Amino acid sequence: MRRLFVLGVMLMIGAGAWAQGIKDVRINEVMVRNVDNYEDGYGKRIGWIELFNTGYSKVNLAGAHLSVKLGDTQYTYRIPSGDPRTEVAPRDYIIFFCDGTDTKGTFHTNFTLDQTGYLALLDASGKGKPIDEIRYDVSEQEPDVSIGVLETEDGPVFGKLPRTTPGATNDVIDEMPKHEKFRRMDPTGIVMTITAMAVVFVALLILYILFNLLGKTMKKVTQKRENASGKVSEPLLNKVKGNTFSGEAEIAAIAMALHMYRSEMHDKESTVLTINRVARAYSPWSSKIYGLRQIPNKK
Amino acid sequence: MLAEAANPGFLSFLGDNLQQFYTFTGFANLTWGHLIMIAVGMFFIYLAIAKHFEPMLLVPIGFGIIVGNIPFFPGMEVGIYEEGSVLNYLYFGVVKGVYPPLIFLGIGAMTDFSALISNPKLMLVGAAAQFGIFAAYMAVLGLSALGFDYTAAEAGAIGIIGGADGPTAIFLSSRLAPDLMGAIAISAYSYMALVPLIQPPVMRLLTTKKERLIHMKSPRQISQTEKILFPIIGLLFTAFLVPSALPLLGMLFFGNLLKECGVTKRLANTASGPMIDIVTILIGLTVGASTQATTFLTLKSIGTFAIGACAFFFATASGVLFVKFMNLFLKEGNKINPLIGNAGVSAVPLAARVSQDMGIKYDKTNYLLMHAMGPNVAGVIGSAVAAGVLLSFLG
Repeated sequence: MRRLFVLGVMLMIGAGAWAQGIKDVRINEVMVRNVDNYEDGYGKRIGWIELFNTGYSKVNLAGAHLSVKLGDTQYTYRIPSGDPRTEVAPRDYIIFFCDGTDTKGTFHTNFTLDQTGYLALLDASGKGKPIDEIRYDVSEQEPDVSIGVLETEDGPVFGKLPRTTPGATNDVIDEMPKHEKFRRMDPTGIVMTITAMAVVFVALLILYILFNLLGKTMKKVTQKRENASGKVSEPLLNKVKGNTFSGEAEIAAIAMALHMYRSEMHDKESTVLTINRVARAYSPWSSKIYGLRQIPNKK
Repeated sequence: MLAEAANPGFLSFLGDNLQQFYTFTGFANLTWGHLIMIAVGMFFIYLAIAKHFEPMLLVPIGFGIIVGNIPFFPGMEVGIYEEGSVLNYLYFGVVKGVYPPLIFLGIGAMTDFSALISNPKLMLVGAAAQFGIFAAYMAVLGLSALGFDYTAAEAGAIGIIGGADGPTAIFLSSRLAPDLMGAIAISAYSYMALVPLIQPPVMRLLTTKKERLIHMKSPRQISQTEKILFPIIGLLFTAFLVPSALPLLGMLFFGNLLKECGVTKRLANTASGPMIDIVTILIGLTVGASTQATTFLTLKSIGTFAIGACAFFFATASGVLFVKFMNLFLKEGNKINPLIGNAGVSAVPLAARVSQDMGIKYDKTNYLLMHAMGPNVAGVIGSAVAAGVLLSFLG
């Protein structure tokens, strides 16, 4: 008895979960007149329905119904069980082709979309309130233009879609790249020039202000230290001596000497020119007395 | 054996094979475009060796142009644009913008910012010279309005030539206009090498003799603390303002900190020595090789060259004119010689050398090199910031 009760509860939970799962599915996009658009597995272009699993768990559509005329089995298609492809992954899409034949496999319905101007998705009972339904005017359907749900600022709106997107979201990515949008707003580039130059100036102006302040602070600190230690600052020293020489010539001369040394005059130097005394420790190995240059004694 | 060789079947087999072999040779696939590009490569090598124009860059680029324009049968996995080829692997560093930041690391590690820190108002000259970038940007947009097929992103990428900074040009063009990257890089490096020819006429045109004779105050001594603070503060304020330039600015200031902190001499030596040399070889060779005639010789590439020259002209002119403008507000004795305005374009240290040469020409005791290094290194920062702005708006 207890086992039966547990089983019953589990079945109820399972049914509830399935029901919740199927309720997450929506009719996302429909193409009534397919002339030069998405092909089915047989290479035919026929009207199609795209269902979207809006939930975050997978849903198996086996047993659910698609209908263009409620209560009429001629116009209602039961999605077959036993086909693993009827399981829709979370946030994924599934497409059914509507060619009016039910002999071409799981994803071909026994009705076409140009008959009633109505489409509904129903649960396994095939009765009751549809999970989702749409109404459209068949005569207004343009070739290769789909209808579906499009997210707008005012919420989801059902209508003509700017692009057909079978198996994908209807929110068409804005194809105009960012740079072209910018160009449209600023065709001459003046706004860009003013903005960018302002940013460059601000960046370097900040550095200028900071290092200007830092420089002044450092000068004061150095001055204080020198005063404290009794040293005479360099500018003052120059004034006292009447030395107005800027030092630029020295810098340039040193730079030139280094440049010539490094790049031209001494490309590869194996010895070192120095004014320091070079001390060599005595060794009999380098002694001239034992050198071979000594003329041998001929005696 | 001889009889076998004389067999007509064997001869036709040999003939077919030789014919097939011929189709794989460069001769069979040669076009006029390849010959033109090979000549361009040779000219670059000539400029580098005979005229000493940026030899470190022009030799690898020139040779790369020759390598990239050896005709071959497509599908042999040898070309730079063929997946799986060695050149393609090396080119990855250019396409993905890996090499430019590494070069900036080396530049940071070898650049002495003392001239800039001692006279920080010269930073503004570096900022002003970036106008060349945006003048070129507007020029390209103007050409597009006349019917030339340039996108706004391509206009931005071409404009960066005016920054006179090869790595920045490669970094930005790899993101905004990968198809034009070869043309932009070649154009940027070519005009950088030609700075001693392009800038002096503009500088002469925009300055008076009196202005050229201005002696500037010698820069003050910079403390070690200031040198250490510069890369840290510099990074914080520029990268916070333009985070898109972080790869360039981050590496530049990091390299400089390695140099100035005094405790990472080995790292600084590696960054400013072997590492930058290796990356320069790779970037030069691959950028050169990317100028494959089949993809490079287009009207857009030629237009890129033409606008690049305009960009350099405007960059030089805006730097010089801005110094003149600053002088209106500076006291006598503090005035800046406008001959250092040209150095606001990066092109370190070539543009500063041009200032020095021009200064010496008019007054043999007027040494402008140290002063010109200020706007010159500010130009490196400025062009990186400008690239970041372009990337933010157009990327």
